[in-house]
Amino acid sequence: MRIISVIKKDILEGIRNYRFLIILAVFAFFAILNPVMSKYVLPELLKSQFQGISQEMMSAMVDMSQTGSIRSYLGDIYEMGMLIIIFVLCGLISSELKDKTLIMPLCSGKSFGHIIISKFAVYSSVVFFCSIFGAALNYIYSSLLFSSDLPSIVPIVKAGVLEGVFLIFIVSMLILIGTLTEKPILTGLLTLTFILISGFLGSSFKQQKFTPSGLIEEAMKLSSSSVFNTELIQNVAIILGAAIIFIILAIMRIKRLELTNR
Amino acid sequence: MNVLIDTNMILALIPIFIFQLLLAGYCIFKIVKDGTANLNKLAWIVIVLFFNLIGPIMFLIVGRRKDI
Amino acid sequence: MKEGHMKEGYMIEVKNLNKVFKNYHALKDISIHVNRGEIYGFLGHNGAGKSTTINILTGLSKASSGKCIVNGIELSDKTNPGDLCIGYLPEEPMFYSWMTAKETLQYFGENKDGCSRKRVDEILEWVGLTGAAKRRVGGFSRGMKQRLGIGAALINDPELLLLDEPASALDPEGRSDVIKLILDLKRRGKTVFFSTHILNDVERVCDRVSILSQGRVLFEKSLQDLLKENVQPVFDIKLKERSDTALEESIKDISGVIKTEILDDLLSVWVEDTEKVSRELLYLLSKSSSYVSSFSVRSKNLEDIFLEEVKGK
Repeated sequence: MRIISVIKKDILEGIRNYRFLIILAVFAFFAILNPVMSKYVLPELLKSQFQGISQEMMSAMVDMSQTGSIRSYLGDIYEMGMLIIIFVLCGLISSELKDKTLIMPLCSGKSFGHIIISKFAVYSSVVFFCSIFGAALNYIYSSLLFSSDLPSIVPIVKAGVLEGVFLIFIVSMLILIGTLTEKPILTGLLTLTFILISGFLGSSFKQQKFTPSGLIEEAMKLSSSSVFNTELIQNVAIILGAAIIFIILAIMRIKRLELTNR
Repeated sequence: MNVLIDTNMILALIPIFIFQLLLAGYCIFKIVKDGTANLNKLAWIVIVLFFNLIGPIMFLIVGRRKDI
Repeated sequence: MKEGHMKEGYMIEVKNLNKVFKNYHALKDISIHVNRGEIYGFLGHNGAGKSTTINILTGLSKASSGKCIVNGIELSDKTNPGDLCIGYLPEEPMFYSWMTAKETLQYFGENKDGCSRKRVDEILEWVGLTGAAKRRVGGFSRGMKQRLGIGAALINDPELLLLDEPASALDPEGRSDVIKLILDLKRRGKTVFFSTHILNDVERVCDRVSILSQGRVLFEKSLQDLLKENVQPVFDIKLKERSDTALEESIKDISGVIKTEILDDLLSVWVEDTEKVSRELLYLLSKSSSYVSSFSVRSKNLEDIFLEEVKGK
C-alpha cells in the first residue's frame, strides 16, 4: 500500500510540528479548567460583582451543576477550541501549496489522492479521538468536584462524538478551501466565516440539522435517551457526507492546479 | 479578594497548574536552547508565561525556529 | 539491461508545444526530441522559457497546445507526475524543513516496492551528504538542498532525469561534482535532460543541445556538429616579438593563404582550407627565428555561438 508511507509522513509531521500536542492540550486544558471555573471562580466573581446576591438568583445566572459545567466545556470547545484548531490546521494543505513542498513528492511517485486522503484521515482521527478524550476527562474531573447528576457516561461520550464529527467537518473544509486559496490565513478566516454564518442561518431558520453547528447544539443537550433518533442520524450523515464531498472536490481541484512558480 | 482563597479550590486548581507549568516549561526550554523566530527571546518568554494556553500555542506555531 | 533500453522511439518528443499564461505567450511552437541514453542540454537566458518547458514535461504544468511524449507516455490533462517514472530536480528544490535528509530520501523512495535503507545511504554518499544525514533539512544551505534535490531525483533510479539548472546554485567544486555525476549517469544508460545558462558545463558533457530564446527554439543540433560548423578558417599565432614582417611576408606566399593581419603580438592568417595549409605553415614557423608561444585554429566557442544566435533573432 503506497498510501501508508504518506500516512507515516503525516503522523511524523503532526508530532514534529506540535500539531497533535496542541490539539490534545486544548481539549485537556478546557476539560480541567471548566469544572474549576464553574464551581469556584464564577460564583465568587458574581458575589463580588453583585453584593448580596441571593442563591436563587445566582443559580439562575450560572448553572452550577455537573451538567452545567459540562455544557460550558462543550461551549468552550465550540468557540475557543475551534478557533485554535482552525489556527493550527489552516496551513494543512495551503502552506504546502504555497511553499511548493508537494512538487518533489509528486514527481517521485506520490499521488494527489493519497496526499489529500492521508491528511484527512490522520487529522480527522486526531480531532475525533481528542474530542472524545476531552469529554471523558471533563466528565471524570467534574464528577470529582460536583455531585454527579448524570445517569451515565453515555451522553458525554455522545457529546464528544458529535463534537468530533463537527471538527472532522472543519478539517475537510480547511483542506478544500486550502486547495482553492493556497493561503493559510485566508483559509482559516473563510472556514470560520462559513461556520459562523451557517450557524446563524441554521438557528434563525430552525434548520440546524443541516448545519455543522447543529451538532454542537445537539451535543449540549446532553440527552441520554435519543441516541438513535432519526433527526440526529440525518444531521451526522449530512455533515459527514459533506466532508467526504469536500475531500473529493479538493482532490479534483488539486489535480488541476499548476504547482509551479509562475 | 480573600474570599477567593479556598483550600478546596486550590486543590482543584493543582492539575491545571501542573499542566500550565509543563507546557510553559517545555516552551521556555526550547526558547533558551534553540532560539526564536519573529520576536526575540524575552518577548516570547513573557508571552508564554503570561498568556494561558494561547501563549505556548502561539510560540509552538509561529515562534519556533524551523531552520535548525 | 533494463526494459527501458528496449523501448522504441525517443525518450522525449515535443511537437508544436505552446504555453500561454494569462497575457503572456511563454512558449511558441517548441519542437524538440531527446534520444534514449543521451545528455541533452537545454540552453537559454533567464526567462527564455526553460523552466516552463521542463514543468510541462514533468506533468506539473499543462500545455496550452501541442503534443509531448515523455518516457513513452503522452501527456494530457490527467497525467499524474508520479506516473512518468522520471527524476526531476526543480530550479529551487523545496523540502519539508522538519524532516532529516535521510527521512526525506526515504519518503521519496517509498513507492510500490518500498525503499531499502541501503539505497538511501548509497544516494547520500553519492551526493556527499552522509555527514548531514541526520540533520533537519530546515537548516541546510542552498547548496546542500541542491545536493539533496539531486539525490531525491535519483532515489527511484529513473530512466529519465529532468534537471532544471542543476549546477547554478553550487560553488565551483559542487559544479564539477554535478558534471561528473551527469557523466556517471550516462555511463549507466540513463537519459539526462538539463537546462542551464552556464555554457561551460554544456561544452563538457552534452551530446546534443538546443537553444531557446524568447520562447522559441533557435536550433537543435549535436554539440560536435555545432562546434565543427563554427570552426573558422583562421590560424591565430602568438609571437614573442611584436611584429615579424619577414615571417608575415613568407606566410603570404603560401598558396591558399588569403590574407594576414598583425595585432600586437597576434598574427592571424586567413586561409581557404585549414587542413591543407597547416603543414606548410608549421614548417615555416619552425624555421623562423621568432618564438611562437601559441598556435591554434580559431573557432567559436559555445558562448560566442549562443550570443550570436540570440542576438541575430
